[in-house]
Amino acid sequence: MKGIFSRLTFFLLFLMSVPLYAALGIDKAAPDFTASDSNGKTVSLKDFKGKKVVLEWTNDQCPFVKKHYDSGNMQALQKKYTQDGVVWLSVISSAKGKQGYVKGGEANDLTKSRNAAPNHVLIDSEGSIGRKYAAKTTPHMYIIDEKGVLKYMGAIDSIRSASPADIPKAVNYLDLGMKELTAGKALSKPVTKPYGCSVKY
Amino acid sequence: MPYFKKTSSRPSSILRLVSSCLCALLVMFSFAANSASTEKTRTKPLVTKPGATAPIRQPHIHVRLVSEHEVLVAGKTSHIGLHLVPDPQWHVYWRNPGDSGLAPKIEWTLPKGLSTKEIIWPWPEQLPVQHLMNYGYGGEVVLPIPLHIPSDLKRKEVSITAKASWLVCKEECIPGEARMTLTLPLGDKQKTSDYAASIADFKNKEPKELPLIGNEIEINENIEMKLYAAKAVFGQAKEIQFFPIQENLVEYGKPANMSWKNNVLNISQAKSMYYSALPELIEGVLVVDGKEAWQFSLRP
Repeated sequence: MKGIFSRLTFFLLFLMSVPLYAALGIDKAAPDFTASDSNGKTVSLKDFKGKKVVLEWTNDQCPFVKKHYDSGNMQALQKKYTQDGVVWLSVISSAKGKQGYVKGGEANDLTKSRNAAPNHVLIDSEGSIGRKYAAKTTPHMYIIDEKGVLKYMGAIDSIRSASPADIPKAVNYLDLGMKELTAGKALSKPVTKPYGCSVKY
Repeated sequence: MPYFKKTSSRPSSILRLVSSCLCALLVMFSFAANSASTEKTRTKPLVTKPGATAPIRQPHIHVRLVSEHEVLVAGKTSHIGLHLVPDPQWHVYWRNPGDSGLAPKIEWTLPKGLSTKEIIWPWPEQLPVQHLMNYGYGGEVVLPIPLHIPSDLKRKEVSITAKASWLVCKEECIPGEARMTLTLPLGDKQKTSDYAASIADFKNKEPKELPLIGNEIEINENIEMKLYAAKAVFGQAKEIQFFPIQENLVEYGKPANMSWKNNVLNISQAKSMYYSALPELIEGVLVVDGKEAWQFSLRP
């Protein structure tokens, strides 16, 4: 009797945890979400059907994010792809009071001061988009195609370090994925392990 | 020497008694708190004697090199330790850091003929972060590295340089790196240093090899492994923790379902989001009751 009860509890708990990840997968529909951006505007993923979308998890205080911003690498990627009609969404899933959490005005100041070029900065302080996408680190990158299908998730590049000197030596997975996607090829690296600071849920 | 007044009125002597009791209690509590924290966090200052580099201070960490021997001998192996001392409540990472973080790394510059082997990793702790999981060391750690001196070395002394890099985190993370050079004399007889004991302590935390006589693996939404150990090491265990060495195998933030009897261990843990294919080699560390550790390896 006792054994069945604990097994049932375990099974129910397991069921509760499955939806978080079961919906997320390469070549599956990217989970829809709705959030407020840094200007208080409501933004949903489905608004962008017909365009490629890049999701970039960020925390301006994290040394790994600083690696890509202080070097200008992230801003260059943002400009390159937004000029090509890709929608770039920077997502901040830091909870209130935790490192990286900013209000809309401060997020806009950071965009300006760092010369960044995302289309929107989404304030995800409840962490709901982060959890839907199982975002673990900052940075953590995702590519969604025009049909809303998830094509890439993982690291920004191939050298896991906090040193900007490694950027030119690394393979940039965003560039690689975008190139293959545009050429209509299957991605050679659809999934890589992301590196960075943990998202401050 | 206590000084007792010959004449004292009753109320003030009671007051003295109460205040001295309170003082004694305070002292006792601070000792208890101190000894609880020195288990993990170091409160003693780092002393530099022969066989160690002067500690380098970087944000939230002290780092130095320590040597098992203060005199090396040609033809013999010694151990150099990378001693990482994070500030209280800060931590550094294991070889597989888990969901985030970075393992410490060392690049050696050695005189001709000398060679080092891989870092000997003491068994790690689980460091949960919300629903995510990291693996590392919540206090000071010495990472021992075997150093071999060639038998034909004719020099009187050698300088060993390590460029160490690490990530030290609490809530936030601070990367660091330091270049440290240890110069040691050579002689006819090895002389152990004052650091040999602490190197030995951490070397003893290296997981012992657990030979397997068989294994079964099933992959569904979980990685399910059944290990048949050559020795009945699991029998009396109350808790076994599993730390995979290969990345992209299991989802670190999901707890592993462990069960065991005699020499058979079952591990079931959610498959990693980044799992693409079964690796050629699966290695893992099993920490039993926080007191001993085994390392298994299998080719699926």
